[in-house]
Amino acid sequence: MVNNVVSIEKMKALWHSEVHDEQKWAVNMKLLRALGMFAGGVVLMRSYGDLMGV
Amino acid sequence: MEGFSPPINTAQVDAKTKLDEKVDYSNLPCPVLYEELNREATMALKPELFEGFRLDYNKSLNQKFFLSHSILMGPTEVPNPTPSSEIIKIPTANYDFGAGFIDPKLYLIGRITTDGRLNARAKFDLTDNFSVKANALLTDEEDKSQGHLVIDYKGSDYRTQLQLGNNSVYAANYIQHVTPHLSLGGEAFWLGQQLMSGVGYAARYETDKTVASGQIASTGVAVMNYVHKVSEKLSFATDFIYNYLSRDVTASVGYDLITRQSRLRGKVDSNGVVAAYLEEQLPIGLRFLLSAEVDHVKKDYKFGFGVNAF
Repeated sequence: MVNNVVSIEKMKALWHSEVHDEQKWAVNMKLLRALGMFAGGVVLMRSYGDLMGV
Repeated sequence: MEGFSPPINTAQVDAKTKLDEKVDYSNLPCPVLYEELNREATMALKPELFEGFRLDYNKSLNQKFFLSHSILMGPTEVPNPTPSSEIIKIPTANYDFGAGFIDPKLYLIGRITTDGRLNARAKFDLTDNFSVKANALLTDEEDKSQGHLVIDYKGSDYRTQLQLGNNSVYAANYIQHVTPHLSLGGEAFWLGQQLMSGVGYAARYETDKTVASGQIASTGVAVMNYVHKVSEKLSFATDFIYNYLSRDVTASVGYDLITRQSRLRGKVDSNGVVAAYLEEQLPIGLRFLLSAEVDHVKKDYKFGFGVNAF
């Protein structure tokens, strides 16, 4: 129980620092946007690539 | 009616045939070069964009010798001494003269530019499977000259390379096909001047329609890309490049459209850059080039046009 509470608190602290720290959030947002663009590109190509053919 | 088998029989036969397929591990194909793992994505997403006017003229003297002349006139970005985010450009012009010798087993190419750089490349195929390449760049700037030697061995289903460079640069890589579609590779390198060593790993999966590859290195760089070939004429590509140390990250999505007379490539990336590059073959033996790159975040707009003459 104590270990669980501690690890949950650690996770909360990590999430808070990654999301609410302005500098870290800017870097993380950039990374998320790039990952999203890459993943979105792959999904679009696999799903609709053939339909977009000229 | 008797002559046609019902669809379900066809499906069953197909399924059985597919189940019976076996991989012949003694007859795997040969992989691409380790440094060319990303070549499809690079061709689609990284065309030679330029700004200003560009003229390239290539003249063949005979079957093996050729000369080339290149002119590039346009603005060049210079470092901004003030901490402003504005971009400073000054107009410049450059002329390159090149000469080349191309033979099935040996090629030699040299280029010299008016800003004091000499570029030389050579490749010699000792046997069908063994080749040596050398590159050199000589400049009038202090400590900027470079030399590079690459020894390349090609096996039936693997390739390996050894690289030596000045400033104590050593690298080696190996890539192996492990299934008919998947190849895996690794590399190790030592940069003596920076006292840095590293390792890298790579994987590439390719079929007739798609190519996916990824690379990661202990220097903190990770690369992934994916190319989908819709037809012989049209491909879509996307890539992702991340540098853990500098926290730089970029993702791009683009296309590559090839028709009989022209080739059009375009892309948009996660840093707000939109680019397009058009090559059009004109009937009179010229190739017409249009280049455009718009960086909305930096407000850096580059447009170029050029001509290739043969």
